[in-house]
Amino acid sequence: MRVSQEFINLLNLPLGRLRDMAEELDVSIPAGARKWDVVKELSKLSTSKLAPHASEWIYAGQTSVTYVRFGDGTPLDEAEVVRTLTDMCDGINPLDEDVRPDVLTRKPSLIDATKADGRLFLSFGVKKPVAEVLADFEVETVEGDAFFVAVLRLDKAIMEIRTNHQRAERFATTWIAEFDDLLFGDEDEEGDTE
Amino acid sequence: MSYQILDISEVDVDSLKQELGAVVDRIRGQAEDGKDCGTVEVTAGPSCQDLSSSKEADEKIAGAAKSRLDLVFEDPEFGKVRARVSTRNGSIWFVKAVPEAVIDRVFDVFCRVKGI
Repeated sequence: MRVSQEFINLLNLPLGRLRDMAEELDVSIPAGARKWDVVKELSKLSTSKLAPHASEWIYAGQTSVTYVRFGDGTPLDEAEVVRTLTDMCDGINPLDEDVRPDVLTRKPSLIDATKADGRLFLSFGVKKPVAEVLADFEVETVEGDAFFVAVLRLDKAIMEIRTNHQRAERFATTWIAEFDDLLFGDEDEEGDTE
Repeated sequence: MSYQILDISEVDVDSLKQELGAVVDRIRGQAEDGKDCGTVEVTAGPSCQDLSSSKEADEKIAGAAKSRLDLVFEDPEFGKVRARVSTRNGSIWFVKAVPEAVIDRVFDVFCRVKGI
């Protein structure tokens, strides 16, 4: 069964904060429980119950940030951005509906989007190798899902990519390049003809 | 292409430090080609408040580009924050988990420093 977006978001919180939340929300957690176990219990609660306790941490935590600026920094038009995101999600508005793909690949996929304080919080999923094991005497690479957030600050036309720099660079040359092309493509073409 | 990854220069790091009221307690230097030592790293000793004003640290990493610096500062709401700034990658790593407000504050300062 697919896990909820809350489950994925909660995995981003430090264990100490998760334990505090469990206590604040009267969720019983056995002593010595792993982060995974605490998240499993907390994710059973509704988003509205979790939000006041987790909102400051869900997209933050222990992270590296890389800043990408679009154009000359002119504020981005929210409607145009949402339209572009919708185009990239096969006509589904990611702010309103579930846009999770059936499978993740090495190329980042948008899996969730929310809006708060003039910013868009975009969650991405990507497949990454996590281990090499022997299976039937052959070396096999085991892959797992990894998630990261990119915060689009509309007023500054800056996307804050919250993941390790290597992945951020890959993200810039793949998803952001496509986003940029769709958002500004027509303007670039006009410029070319002048 | 109309987007770019914003760089963070050594001068930017110095301005970030001033604006955040931070101290530097770790510096990694990347020596230029032709030197015997490729990477030089110094950390603050117990009696050193701020490596950025240490003559001894300057001498040890002389001639090397400061590729990574740890800025340590107090956030009024959250407490002690360690931000590892990479001039090589143009990234800032929050070494210990921080809430949204801290990332926002660093972003605001970063924008002021870059004049954007």
